[in-house]
Amino acid sequence: MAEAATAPGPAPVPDPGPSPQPASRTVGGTVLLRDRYLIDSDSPLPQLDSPSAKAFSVEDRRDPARKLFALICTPGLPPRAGVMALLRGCNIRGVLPLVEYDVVDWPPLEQRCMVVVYERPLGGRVMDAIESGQVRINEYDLTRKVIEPLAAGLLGLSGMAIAHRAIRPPNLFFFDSDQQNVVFGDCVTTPAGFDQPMLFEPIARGMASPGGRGAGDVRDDIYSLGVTLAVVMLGHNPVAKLSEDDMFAAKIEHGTYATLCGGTRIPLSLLEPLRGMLSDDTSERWGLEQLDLWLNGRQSTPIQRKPAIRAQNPFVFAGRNHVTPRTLARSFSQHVTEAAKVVRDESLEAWLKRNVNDADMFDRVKGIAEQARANPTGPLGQDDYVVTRIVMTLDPQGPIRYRGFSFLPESFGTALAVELLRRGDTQVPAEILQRDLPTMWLSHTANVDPINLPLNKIFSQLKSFLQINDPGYGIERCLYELNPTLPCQSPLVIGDYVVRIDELLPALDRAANKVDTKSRPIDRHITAFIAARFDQDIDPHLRALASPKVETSLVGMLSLLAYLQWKLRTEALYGLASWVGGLLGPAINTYHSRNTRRDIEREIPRLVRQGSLPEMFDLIDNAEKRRVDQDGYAAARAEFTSAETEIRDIEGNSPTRIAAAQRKGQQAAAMTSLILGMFVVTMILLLGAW
Amino acid sequence: MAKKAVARRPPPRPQTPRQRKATATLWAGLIAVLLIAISLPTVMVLFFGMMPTLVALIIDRTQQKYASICVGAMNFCGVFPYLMKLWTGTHSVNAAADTLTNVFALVVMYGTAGFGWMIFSGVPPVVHAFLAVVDQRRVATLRASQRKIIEEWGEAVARPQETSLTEKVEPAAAKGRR
Repeated sequence: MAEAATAPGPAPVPDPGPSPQPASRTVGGTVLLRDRYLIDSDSPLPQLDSPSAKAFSVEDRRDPARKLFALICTPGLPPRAGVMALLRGCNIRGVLPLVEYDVVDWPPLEQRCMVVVYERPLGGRVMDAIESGQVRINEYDLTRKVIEPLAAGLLGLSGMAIAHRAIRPPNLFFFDSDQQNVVFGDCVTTPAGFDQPMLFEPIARGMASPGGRGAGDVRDDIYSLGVTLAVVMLGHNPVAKLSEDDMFAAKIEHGTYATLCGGTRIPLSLLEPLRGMLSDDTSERWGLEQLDLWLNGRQSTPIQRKPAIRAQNPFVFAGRNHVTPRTLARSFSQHVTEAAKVVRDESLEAWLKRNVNDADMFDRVKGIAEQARANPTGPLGQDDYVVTRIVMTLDPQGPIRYRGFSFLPESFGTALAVELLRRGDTQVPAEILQRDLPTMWLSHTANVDPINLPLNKIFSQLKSFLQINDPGYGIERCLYELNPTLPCQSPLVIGDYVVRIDELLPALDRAANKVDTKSRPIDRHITAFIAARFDQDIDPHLRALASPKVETSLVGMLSLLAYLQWKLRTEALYGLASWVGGLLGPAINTYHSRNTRRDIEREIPRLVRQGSLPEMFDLIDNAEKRRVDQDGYAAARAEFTSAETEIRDIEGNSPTRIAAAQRKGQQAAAMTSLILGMFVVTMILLLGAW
Repeated sequence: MAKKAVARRPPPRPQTPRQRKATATLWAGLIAVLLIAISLPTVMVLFFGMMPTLVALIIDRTQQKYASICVGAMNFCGVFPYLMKLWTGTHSVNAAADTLTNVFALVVMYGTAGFGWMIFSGVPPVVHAFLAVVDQRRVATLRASQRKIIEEWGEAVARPQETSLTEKVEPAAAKGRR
């Protein structure tokens, strides 16, 4: 997360590379990248594969003699696009030159993938050469041929604020065919530290899951380089026979240097740098300056190994004797149910009090245990939660470990993406945010660091996203906010590797030909992707989209898509317009006037032919048309009600009405009498006169 | 001084209904006395001939006095020929008495009053029936108008008021797009 989280809030996309125009063309099994690099999917280069990216041969059309290869990233894993952008075209000594990268249609996977083109290392892998006996590296060669160029590489990367985080023996190559120049291999196709065996990671990062190890810094690279040098020098892994648990226990209890080099003969000249680079205390670990000084022949003050604080008596748990809280914490995280029992029966408190001289740790553990005992059935007393907090207390600098999900807070984003890729479920990360575990980790005195300050704000924001269950929020929003280079994971567009917001609508347009158009073109992933990557205020659209009323939600969907097309100036979207147009029945029916509905229905096919969503939205939700419809409807209602009232009055024979009729009758009788009387009188007068 | 006295005089108080009735009775009495003095035979014929009208006035308690009008108008039709005979012949108390003691004359006078009463009783049901026919026509017209409204605006127009979509969809959504 560190790479993504340097700027809290909506993270900017650090130029993931893909251009708005199609960056690639597919011709049979070959893919043309940026009209220059021909990647042949039929020519794999397994000797150059990295654990998460397959290698294929590449031909430069402008310079066919140039030797290149491409690594195809695993879709779903967020690559380090920011680092790619920085390394593209850079020629750093000791680092394999990154030539180009982009998203291409990759025929073997039948989807779009990120591809990274490197200069091909002509001498192959260093370890292959050593193991096959082609190359022998003695202690003098090691300094000159290996440490020196690699230190230069680290210096170059450090100057660009990049941590390599993939330093391991199989990732060292001879760049030249003479096998003289050693370079670091790929470091961008996966999240930082993702492919690293645990041995090559510092203790805390090694305990985290591959996605949760964090971007780290040059100190982590120095540590990895130290382990790598030890392995290269020895020609084999000295702890290969140890189990993972034993290796960690040894590293924690005896230190990494003693674990790796304790039983082997280390040349005297390398003792000092290895001790410095393999120090488990980051404040004491060598930096580039000390390494440079050593390479220039200057002596540094030897580092005195500080043994880990050991308990006087071991704590027996899960069949192992634990003499440090850190190994116990790791074991607790692996055996949660048993650990919860131990926490509740006070044996842990007793051991800490008598054997570990750390009052703060004891007080914290006691507080958590008492809370767990007081709430045996409540959320605060759940085994997973209690054990996670205990583990955090016993090993405050270790990763957060909750229900098998372990990560350092800075790498929550990549860990979340990897969890989604592997399990397809984000329940556990969501629970972690809800339970405020990262905030607890950050508030521990051992982790109070100015570097971590922005994280508090970020996690607070993530929690606020999570608390809203509407589209555009939730764990999906967290996923895209934290991983600016992660492609949209919606099943509708996952094959199109949509990283930038302007790629979304064209991808949905293509999807219109493949998916069931009775479903909506927007799901939670797409909405969250838009909310995270689109820099305009879309809250009103999201509120409408979240409405439980189908018609309101449809208008919200159309308004959001139309707004995107309008703002991003996306060209005509015939497929998407047709898809959306077919779904608008309920929205059209919100007009009261049948004539207006008929007019709109007649108009939609024309707008579909134009591929214009803004026009369609204007047709569906024109403010003036709505007002006219509303006014007309109100008038019609009034007229109907008035007619109904009159009919009821007529048919109801109310006393008032009867009285009125009677009065009219009597009035008519009176008028009749008067007229008749006047007529008679007039006639009599006339007859008398005549 | 006089002007001042006029200016200071309070405005006249409006009469109460009782006072107005008393005033009217006074005037009616005065006119009757005058008429008796001027034309006693006519007054005699009118008084006795128009007796049914007097009765009708007494028993008709409505404000409009439609029954009295009906009876009075017809009653006068019966009395008027004898008044004409009196006016064109000998205008004396004896002639008036002859008329009033003539059974035929009395039958004519009171019979026409009875006819007036028949009009009062017979016309209203006819009018009522006529109005009913008019109302039926009106109902048919209104129903046709309602059918046209429903045809144009849907059944919802006949249902109780419901919140419209425009109020629910945020207007800002439209604003934002524009």
